[in-house]
Amino acid sequence: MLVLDGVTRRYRSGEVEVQAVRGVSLTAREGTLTAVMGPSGCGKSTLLTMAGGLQPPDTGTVTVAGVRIDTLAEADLYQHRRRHIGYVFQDYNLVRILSVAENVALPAELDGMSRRKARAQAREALASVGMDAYADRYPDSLSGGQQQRVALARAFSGGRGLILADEPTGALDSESAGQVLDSLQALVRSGATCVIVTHDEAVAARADRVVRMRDGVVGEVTGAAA
Amino acid sequence: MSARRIALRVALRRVRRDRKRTLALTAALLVPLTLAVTLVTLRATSEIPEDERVGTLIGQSQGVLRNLDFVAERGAERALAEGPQALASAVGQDIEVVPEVDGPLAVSSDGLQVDSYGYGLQLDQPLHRGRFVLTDGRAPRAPGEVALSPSVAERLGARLGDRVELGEGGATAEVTGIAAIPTDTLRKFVVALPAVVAGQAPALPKPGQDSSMAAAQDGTVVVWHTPDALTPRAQRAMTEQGWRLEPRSTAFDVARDAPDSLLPEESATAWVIGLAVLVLGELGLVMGAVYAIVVRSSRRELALLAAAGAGPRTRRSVITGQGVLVGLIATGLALGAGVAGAWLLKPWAAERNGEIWGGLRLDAWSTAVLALLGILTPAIAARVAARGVGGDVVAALRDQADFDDRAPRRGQVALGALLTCGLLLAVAGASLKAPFTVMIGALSLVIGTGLLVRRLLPSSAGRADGLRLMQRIGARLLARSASRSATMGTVVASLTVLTGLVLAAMGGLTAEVGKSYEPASPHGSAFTYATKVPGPATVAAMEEALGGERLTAMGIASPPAPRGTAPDGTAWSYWGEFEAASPLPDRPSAVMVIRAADLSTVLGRNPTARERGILSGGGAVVLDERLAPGGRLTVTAPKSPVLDTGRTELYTESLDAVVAQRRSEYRSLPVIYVSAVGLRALGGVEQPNSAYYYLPAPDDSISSEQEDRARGALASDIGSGYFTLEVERGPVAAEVLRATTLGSALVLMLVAATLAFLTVGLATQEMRPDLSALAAAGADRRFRSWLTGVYAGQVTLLGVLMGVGVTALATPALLLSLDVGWSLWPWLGLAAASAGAVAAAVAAGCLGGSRVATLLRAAQ
Repeated sequence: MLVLDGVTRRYRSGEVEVQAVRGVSLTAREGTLTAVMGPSGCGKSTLLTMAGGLQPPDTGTVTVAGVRIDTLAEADLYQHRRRHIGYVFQDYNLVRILSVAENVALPAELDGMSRRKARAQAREALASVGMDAYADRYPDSLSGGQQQRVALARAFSGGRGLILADEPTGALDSESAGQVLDSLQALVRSGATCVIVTHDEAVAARADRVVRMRDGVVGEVTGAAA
Repeated sequence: MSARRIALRVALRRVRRDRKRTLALTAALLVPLTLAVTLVTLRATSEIPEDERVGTLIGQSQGVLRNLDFVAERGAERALAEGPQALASAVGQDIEVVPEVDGPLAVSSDGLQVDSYGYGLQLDQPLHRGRFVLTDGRAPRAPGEVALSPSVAERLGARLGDRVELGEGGATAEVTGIAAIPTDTLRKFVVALPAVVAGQAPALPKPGQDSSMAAAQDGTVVVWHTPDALTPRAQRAMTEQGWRLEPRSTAFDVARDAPDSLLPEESATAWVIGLAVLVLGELGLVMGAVYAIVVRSSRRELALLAAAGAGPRTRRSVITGQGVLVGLIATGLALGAGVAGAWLLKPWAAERNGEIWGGLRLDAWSTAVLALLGILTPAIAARVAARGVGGDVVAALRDQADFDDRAPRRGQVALGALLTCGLLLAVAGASLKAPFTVMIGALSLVIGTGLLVRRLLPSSAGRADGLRLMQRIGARLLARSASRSATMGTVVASLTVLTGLVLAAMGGLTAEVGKSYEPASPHGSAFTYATKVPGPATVAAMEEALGGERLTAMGIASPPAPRGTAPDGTAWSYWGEFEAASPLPDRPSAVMVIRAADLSTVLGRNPTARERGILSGGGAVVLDERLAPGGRLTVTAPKSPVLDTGRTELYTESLDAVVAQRRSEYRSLPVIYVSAVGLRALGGVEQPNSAYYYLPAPDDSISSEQEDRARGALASDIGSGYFTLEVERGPVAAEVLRATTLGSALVLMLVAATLAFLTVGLATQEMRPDLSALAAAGADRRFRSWLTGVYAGQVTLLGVLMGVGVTALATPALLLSLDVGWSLWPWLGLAAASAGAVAAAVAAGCLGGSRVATLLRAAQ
């Protein structure tokens, strides 16, 4: 589902150039949960943004669902992301002025699906994360855990094959974190590919594979697909 | 350290840190304030006190004595010599009098002649103090000396020490000074001793000629000024002896009625203040929107202050303080710049007005009002925006959403007051014919409508559910940021109202001018009347200048010359003119002599056989049926050249007439035409010293340059004071008004476009977190750009609709206050300007939205 091949990313910080990711190659197959771990600044979040098409690699290739996304034109890239990639951010990134159901339906509506159909699809996704009762509420009236579950529902609504989550439980209490991870594992069991960036060993323990990064390179890979 | 000082310190730091914004706000306030201060200062400086104005008429004298018969019987020189004794014998005692002789007095030098007026008085006599101002040199003190007015000196190219000729008699005088009348520096005159001016008066009237009439005709006046007020007994005695006293109080009445200065009425200051209130009111609304953005962008900083213990009042003071500081800076600069501007412009303004002004005078009250307005405008704008400070401190620290999507619980009183006040001001303005009052009322209505919209917007969020995604997001944002949306909408609305009212007023005025305009002659045609006949070469030059067509010449039919001689001793060659017995109001109804071949030109069509026949047969062709009832034209002309004798004998003649046109249409085109045969039938002659020329040009082919060339040819031959030349181009005032209206609309549209960018600034600020989330959900750059554009367009549209509504309410009042009618095209203009503003906002929003870098932030 996801193939990163020799990807590199540099940042310029004033006069200094920082190599955030250095020649990383990573593959995630369908129906697997991969955790990417490492200390702060090791490049794990940058790796995830390249996997999600949020920023292109300086070198290397990124393939999602058989399509190289690093060479796609902007409009095609966004379309591919809407159809195949669900991204969950640490700070949820829900649209404040849309209701919960509208937030979940957003990618489908952006893709041209009718409002009614998109809403129906959204409600199914919300039901699967236990948030269907909050469909007509606005994000600022929900707790952090609830918002993160809505973000998760948005990520996999419409049957997206690849779910990328950047510290999805970072701002949550243990109960909420557990619920989010349960949802992710359920998705994986249904065939989705999940890649989570985390620094939480407890989260990593529930992954099929753990990739450890340090200073922009992959160090150790443990688990089923190692 | 007190909370207030902390707030002020933070405000000062923000003002310094946000230099661009501070400079922009200060400049925006500075320009209108400086202009207003300059104008009120110039107005105060231009005001010539009544006593000074009286001084320009009669100096310091307490009265002016006249006796027309006394002067006419003796002539000016003898009257001058015998006056004091005659006055003494009239009163029965010696009285102190100072003579003055005034009359037409040409002055020439090196072949150039100026027809000027002569003031015969001792210029440095204390009694005449205030009549004139010596701008150079000294007063004439001897018979061979003269002072010239600046315009005469300029025309002759004369300087101090030069010699000039006075009158026709060849008397010369040395120019000792340049003197000006303080209230009329453009007047052409000379000042010399009374005997000099008296010496230039024409000879005594011939025997049999009415002496007083002759004296009045040549215009020489001899009067005596009294330095002291006369006793009632003395006044009675003088009146019985035929003397007339004009006391000083009479001069006060004359001075009050005299045309005034640059800004003619006391109400001019009120106009300036009214306009300043309007402009600053508009600016205040814009500043309110700017400070609303400041509040939004300072949210976290203010929350940090709250976390450190600053209460709501202190935090609001941080914003209000910024407004006060901007107000103080701008007002201080404006006062200085305004007074400096008045000082710089004073010489030009005085010269343009033909006056001499004293030192710069401040209008303390008006300047104080303007200063107060200057300080209060940004202060109030910031204070109103500061109401948005507060809310959830933790949410602010976390930069979470701060929607103000609930209808405010308070503020109904302010809303009601603003709407009521606005309506009352509009009605009052209409009744009192005060358009500025109507406009200030409209501004009040706009602000009130803004408050109303603020209350109603939150409830509109639910109604957006049925809209498409982009419009839904925009509408939700509009509703959930009701306060800021209403503020921006109010700014746009105020500009829409200003545009609409200005257009409506201009449209009404243009229509009135068009309705009341009476063309002088057919459109495009040229018409010349001269009191000296130009030579054939000049006529040819005029024809060439006006496009090569032959000018149609007309003569005035006069009665036969009377017996006797004219006042200049020569034989009469003509006298008076034949006119219709029942002249039309405001139309020339003299009988004009034309060639038969020119009849088609004056009619503007081929004449009928009857018209040709009547003209050739000695009858008249008339262009108005009221002139020739029953087919007969009756004309009269005075027999005697002597006027005003109580009963004038008239020639009366009747001619067959044909009516070629039912009503006369043109102000200046003659309406009665005869040929040479008709003139003989009247027994008359053509006036030898006047000429009419007419040239139709229906295709508007005569340009202003051609007109100027024709005018120049005539002026070189007969002098510019002896003719008028008009090319009928329609109501010029209407064209000027239309151009001004277009210019105003364009300027306002530019300002609207600027406001659109302001709206975009707010839009992208508001939408930044949502744009990030949308990018995260898969909304590409195009969608995000359009979304910002749609939101900016919705805010602008909201404002435009508010504005059009208030304009519709206020326009009838404004038109009533101006006494003009309604016109459609201003509304079309307003619709176009409004559509333009919305389109500009959408375009600017799309541009602004595409530049918001949201994706990386979303990822991070």
